[in-house]
Amino acid sequence: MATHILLDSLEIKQFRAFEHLRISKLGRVNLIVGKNNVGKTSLLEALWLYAYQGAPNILWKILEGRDEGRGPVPIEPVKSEDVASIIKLLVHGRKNITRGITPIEIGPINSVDKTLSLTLSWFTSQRNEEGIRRLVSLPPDQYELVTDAILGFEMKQGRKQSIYRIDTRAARPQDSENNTCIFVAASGLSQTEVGRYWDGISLTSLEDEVLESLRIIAPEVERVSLVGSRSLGPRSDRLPIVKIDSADDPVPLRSLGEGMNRLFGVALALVNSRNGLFLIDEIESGLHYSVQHKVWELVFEVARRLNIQVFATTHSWDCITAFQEAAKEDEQDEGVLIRLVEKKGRIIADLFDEGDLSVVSREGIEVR
Amino acid sequence: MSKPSKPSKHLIVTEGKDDIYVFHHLLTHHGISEGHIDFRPYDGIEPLLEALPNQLRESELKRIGIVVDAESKMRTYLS
Repeated sequence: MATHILLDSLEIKQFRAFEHLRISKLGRVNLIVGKNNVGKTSLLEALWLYAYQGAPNILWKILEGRDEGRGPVPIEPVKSEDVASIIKLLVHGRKNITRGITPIEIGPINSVDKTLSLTLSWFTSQRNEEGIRRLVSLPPDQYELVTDAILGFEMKQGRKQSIYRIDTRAARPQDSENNTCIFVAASGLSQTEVGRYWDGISLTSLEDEVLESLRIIAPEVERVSLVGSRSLGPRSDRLPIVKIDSADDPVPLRSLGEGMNRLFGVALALVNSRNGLFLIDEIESGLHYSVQHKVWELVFEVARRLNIQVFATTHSWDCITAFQEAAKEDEQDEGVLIRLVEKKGRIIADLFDEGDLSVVSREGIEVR
Repeated sequence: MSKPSKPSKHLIVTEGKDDIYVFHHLLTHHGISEGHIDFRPYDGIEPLLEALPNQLRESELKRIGIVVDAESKMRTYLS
């Protein structure tokens, strides 16, 4: 393994499908496979939560991504019992959580300082002597006795420790130590995200990287940009357009096919993940098998150059073989395939390194 | 690069294609249906042994039979 990667192993406890998942070795580029409902997306969600230290806005994004948040959470706090019934979907076993939970823990194996621990607790808001409101912890059997009990997470990571309420979608204050982490859902990026990530790289050398990636599918693309759309209104909702050498006027990116749109999202999110984590669900979605090899080449190359650790999921055999080929061509041994399987009611991780992968791919051994 | 067919539950791996014919006749002789058994021939003992650790990890695999020639070299392979 070459240069520093953020996570060289991973342990997840009490989150979603994972009672206790251990992944003894991670690569710079990790591909996650497994049957439906074994927790491939949950693994990405756990990493997302880890990178943002359990921030409530990420918590709600995770829930809403699966229609579990029951619509946008109001800015004003809602009833804590209702919040508890939603938050329990993130907790292993989905049991009633009003009396507390076994902590959710996410981090490298045997690394107490780096492991993120989230415990659910009840709080009440009280003024201290200086008149400043603070959250004060309540014993679990007393929350029903207090009329304004608030549900919150106690977050611990090494020496860092904080409490935040989870009945609002407030982001935590910007913390310079926070890792960069971008999650791309199977459905792709929202227009707002596309706008934000484009603004993050516009007129920098990274813009050229995105342009190069589009040429994987359409070599005739000369330039790419984002423009406001009259029909869409707000400035944040802008559409990607491209200039191709055979046409005088730019055309919407989407007119070149859904694959182009997906590739644009993948490349844009990837280069914005510099020095952080890039998480992508169903990476092959919308991409024809013939371009997947080049997409993986791009991912391996950019990930190393911009110091990004990549976690992708797939159901596709073509995607696995394309991953294996790109990993083999890449000079450093940086690709790992993680298969999640259920054994005796528990989800475990089975790892395939690049050597294993070349056998699997050559012999057509089914690992999905 | 071969694409996996349906994952095998019951698999017999052999050193070569000829071994499969032997098994085909053996099963027919005993009136055993081949329907739920898959065969995978390798191109000799070396490729078989190289692939075996990962072959054992195939999803859905419940039982595997390994057919190799009983040669004097077998002792070295087993050790």
